[in-house]
Amino acid sequence: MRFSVPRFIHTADWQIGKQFGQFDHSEAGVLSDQRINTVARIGELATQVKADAILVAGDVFDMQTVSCKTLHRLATALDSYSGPWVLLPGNHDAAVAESVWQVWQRTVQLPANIHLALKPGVIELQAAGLAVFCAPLTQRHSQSDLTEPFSHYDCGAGLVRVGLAHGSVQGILPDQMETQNPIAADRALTSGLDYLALGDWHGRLEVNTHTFYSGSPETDVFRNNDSGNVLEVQIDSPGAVPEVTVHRTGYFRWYQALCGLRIREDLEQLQEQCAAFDRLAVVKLRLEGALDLATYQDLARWLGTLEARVHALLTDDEALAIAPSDNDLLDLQADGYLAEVVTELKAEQESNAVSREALRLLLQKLAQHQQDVRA
Amino acid sequence: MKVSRLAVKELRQFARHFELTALEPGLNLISGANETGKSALVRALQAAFFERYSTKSVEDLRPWQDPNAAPEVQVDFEHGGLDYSLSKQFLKKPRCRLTLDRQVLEGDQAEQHLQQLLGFSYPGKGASREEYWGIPGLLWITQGTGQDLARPISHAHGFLRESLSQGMEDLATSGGDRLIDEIAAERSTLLTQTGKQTGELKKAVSEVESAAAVLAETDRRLSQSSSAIERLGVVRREWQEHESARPWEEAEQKQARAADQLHEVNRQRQQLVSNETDLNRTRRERQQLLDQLGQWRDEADQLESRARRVAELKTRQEAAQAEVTVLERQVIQSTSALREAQAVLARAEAQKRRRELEALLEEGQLALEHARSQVERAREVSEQRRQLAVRLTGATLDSNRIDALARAEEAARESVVRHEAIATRVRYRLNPGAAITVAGQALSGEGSVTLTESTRLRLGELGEITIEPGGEDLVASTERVQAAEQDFDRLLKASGVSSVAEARQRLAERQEAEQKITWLDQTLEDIAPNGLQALIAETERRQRRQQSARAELDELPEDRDLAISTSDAQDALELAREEASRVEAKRRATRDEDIAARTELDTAEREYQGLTQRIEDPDRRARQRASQDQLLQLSAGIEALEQSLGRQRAAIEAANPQVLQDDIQRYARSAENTRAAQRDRRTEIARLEGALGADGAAGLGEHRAEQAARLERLARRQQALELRAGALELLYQRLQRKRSRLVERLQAPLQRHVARYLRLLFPEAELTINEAFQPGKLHRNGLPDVDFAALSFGAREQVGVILRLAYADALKEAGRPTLIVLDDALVHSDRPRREAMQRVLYSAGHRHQILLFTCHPDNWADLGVPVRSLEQLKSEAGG
Repeated sequence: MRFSVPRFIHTADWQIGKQFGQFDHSEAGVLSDQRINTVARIGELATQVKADAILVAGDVFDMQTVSCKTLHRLATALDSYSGPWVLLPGNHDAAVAESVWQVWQRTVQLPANIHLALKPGVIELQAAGLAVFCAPLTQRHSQSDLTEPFSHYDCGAGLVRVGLAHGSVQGILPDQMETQNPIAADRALTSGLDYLALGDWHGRLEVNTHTFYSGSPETDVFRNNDSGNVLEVQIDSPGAVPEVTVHRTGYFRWYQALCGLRIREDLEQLQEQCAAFDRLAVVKLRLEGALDLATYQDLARWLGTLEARVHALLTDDEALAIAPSDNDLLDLQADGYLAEVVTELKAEQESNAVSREALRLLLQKLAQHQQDVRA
Repeated sequence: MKVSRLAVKELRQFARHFELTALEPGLNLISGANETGKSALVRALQAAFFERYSTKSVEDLRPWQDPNAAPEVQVDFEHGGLDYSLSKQFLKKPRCRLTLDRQVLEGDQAEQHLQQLLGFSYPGKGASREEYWGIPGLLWITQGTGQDLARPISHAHGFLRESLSQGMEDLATSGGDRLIDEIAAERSTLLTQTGKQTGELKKAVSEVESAAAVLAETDRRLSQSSSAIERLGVVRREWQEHESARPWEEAEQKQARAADQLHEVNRQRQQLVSNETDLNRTRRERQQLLDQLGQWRDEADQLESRARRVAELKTRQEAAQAEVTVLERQVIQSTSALREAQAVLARAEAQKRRRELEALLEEGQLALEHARSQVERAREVSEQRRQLAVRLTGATLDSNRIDALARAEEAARESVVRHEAIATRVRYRLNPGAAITVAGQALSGEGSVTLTESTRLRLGELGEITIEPGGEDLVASTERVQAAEQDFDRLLKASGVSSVAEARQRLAERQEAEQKITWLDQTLEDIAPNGLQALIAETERRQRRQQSARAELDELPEDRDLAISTSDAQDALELAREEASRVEAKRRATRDEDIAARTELDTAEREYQGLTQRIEDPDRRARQRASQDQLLQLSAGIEALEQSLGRQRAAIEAANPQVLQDDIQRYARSAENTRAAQRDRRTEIARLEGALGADGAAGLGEHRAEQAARLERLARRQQALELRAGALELLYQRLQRKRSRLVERLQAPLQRHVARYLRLLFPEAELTINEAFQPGKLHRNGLPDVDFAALSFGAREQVGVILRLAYADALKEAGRPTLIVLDDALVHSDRPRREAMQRVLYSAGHRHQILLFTCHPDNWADLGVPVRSLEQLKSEAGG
């Protein structure tokens, strides 16, 4: 008989091995490595909150074949928690005939507290007081609801029934037209589960009082969907409403912003917005509008400092035009046909990226000349 | 700009004050011979404007005889409605002053104003050089430089450009060229002249391509891997299904059932074979019975034919016996006939021999007689020869010896003649009747005596006289004569002759006898080639043969009754012999036949007896009956067995053992196939696991993600570089285009002015001018286009002047001051060209002040302006 109520950590979508091509090599490498470090943080958290188990709802790995080094490092990260880990294959790491799981098992001597849910069925964690109903993906995509058999599974009396699945709850997820790996929204209810721990959606999402997406513990895309967390779930007794606590685990914070820039105040506002960004920020700015030359130059300078300050900065300024004023041109001594070219390019820049680039180049050179002259 | 007065003092030739005044606003022609100070004036004008008053580098201005001079220049001119007066003093107490209107500018300030006004610059230090002269440098042609345009234009370029673009400020641009150069340089790091990718951009593109290829390869491997995984799932499931279904076992059971059935059929087959053996044995037994019965029946049939045969043989034997008797008689007859024929033949042969011998004897007699006569003749010839040979024996003489005799005789005679020649000759004529004795010999009458030795002449009564022939020679000669005569005599004796003539006679006779002997020898050779003895022996042999033939003939009697030839007798004998042997052979054959017939008859009779006995045997009859009963029994048994066999065969047929055999094989194969398929599955699983294990261990997926990330970065970089290249290209092309258009517009008026003058020189000619204001190609009607630099010296000078005038026009339009100075220009022009150039200058004179210095005033007679002679002016000044 247990004397404490079951408490476990719900996490998912670790996507170990994921690469980030949109960033520079060194920045991307750190982001990849951090995903494993975050797994260790989860273990530490579980130890700290005295969790009885850690349930991972799929997509532990980002792909079916990862390097030995990665496999070893992940296994080491799991040492951070000595209680049971239940790892479920998702669509990225489905338990196919020859899967990353088998390679992992062959490569690393996994300790007994690591439970790989490679087959559908129930894993009873007596010590934790949990019966984990597993619906692993045995192929990348499934058209049927793999949690359906949960209704037919039996488990020892007195155990809290927790479902572990990976897929899309139909009709709930935003901008998701995913029909692959469907999961019925009322699965917890229909199958008598106390809690249904889901993975696949990288953000944190409560489907209903018994059904949750924990989201990815370390953000991997620019999407303001509250990723970078794990859920601590406590269920006082079978049938009780789960008590869910959110724990921040993400190391890097990903921000994306769309900024319309027309006047200097817009830039100032943007700067203010980004003032708090530090080494742990991964930032993507999409800049629109048009700026006079001085403000544009200030923007460029400021972006330089911002890039130095944050972990990674992606700037998409294709929709940002430079609108040098007549005074600007005068200052730059852009007279005669130079002025004519500037005017032409200015008009073209909206529709033509090359013209915009040419304009930038031209203005940059003119400014440089002016500086030289002044010097 | 119009210069109205130029004054100098203490400057080169002009130690004292000299001035040119009242200069015309248009053309001014100033002439002066060499060394009259023409160039000094031009230099003074240059110094006034270009040299800083403060410079020390104008020693050339100082008159050479005056080291303390302070060269001074004053220029009064008008421009833009303002009157200017410039005064500069150099070297000593240098100063500069420029008054304009009521304003007076001193020193640097004055010079500053001047350079802005005229468009030139001062050097930082030292004497002014060409490159600082700007527009005036272009418009002032110093002696012998009219053809050189490139340098002055490049020095004036900045000023020209500035001046000429003043009216087009909106288009002109300050740093355009530098900007274009910079952009071109940057563009060239990414794009080639023709716009192809190069450098970093090219490298970026190729990097993207290779990264994409690497990624594609990894994708291919991953896709292989993923189909392998799928396959592995399928095969594992199949293996599992087969492992539980075990389809080979069912086949093996079927195989066992078929084997049992086949076993049963085989047992039946063995039974069948044993039954067939029984049947065959019974059939053989029946056949034996049938054979036995048949044999008995045959023997009964044979008895009658045997009896017939005995009778037949008996008849044959009796006939043979009768024939033998007849034949024996015939044998006797034929034998006696044979003997008779043999006797006749012997007689015929004896007669034939007799006649042969008779012929032989007759022939032999004739030959014998001939032989005898030959012997006789041979004997005769031999005798003749012997006698001749005897004659030939004795002294031998031959022609050599005769020649020796003749030579000895000659020698003797010659020695006598010589002796007599030296002898003392005594001629005498004695009176008749008188005689003397000389050497004992009485002489009378008349004659001579030769004395060779001391001779006594007896003169009878008179006494005697001894004459001694004189000298030693005579004695020697006498001895020689004696020796020669002795030689001759000795030879004669040796030859057995008395004289040479006899010797010759004897040699002739001997040769004749030898010839005859040769002839006789030949005769004897003909008669008796082997010699006489052989001939005699031959003759005796013939005689003996005759005798023996005669003896043989005598023994053969004459048989006059016989009238048959030997060959006929031979034929008759042959016939008799054949008849005898034929009869004898027939007799022998007939006798053999008789004996055989007897033997056969005997056998046949015995057989007949035996057969009769056997047939009549009662025991045999009993056995015959028993056999017939047994035959019936066996036939019934055979029928029963045949029926039974038919049934058995049908049963085996129905069981179809071949099909059973096939079934067994089929089921065995089927079992083996399913087992093999299962084994294959196991192998494939192992293989796929191995391959996938390797992929998994290699972390292919993670590599792919890394490669994809790398490709993304490279593509981003390529895109950025492409954008940059595009932007540079766009800027470069556009700025270039704008600039070209601007240049065109700048040059439009210049072109117009050039055309105006050029046509005065070359009708309908055109000259291109590039953006640096340099002349390009000269186009003339009917002539190929020529680069300015390739024109003749004279033509270059002419076009050079024209271009300068055109620049002056353009500058004037831009409101810039223009003063044109020509110092001995156009000296290389021929008359017609100079004519044309005078027209040009005259036209330019309407718009500009032109100072034309020349030492050939005649060349410019048609310029339409008066000549101002420096000599004259100087003398006026001096006066």
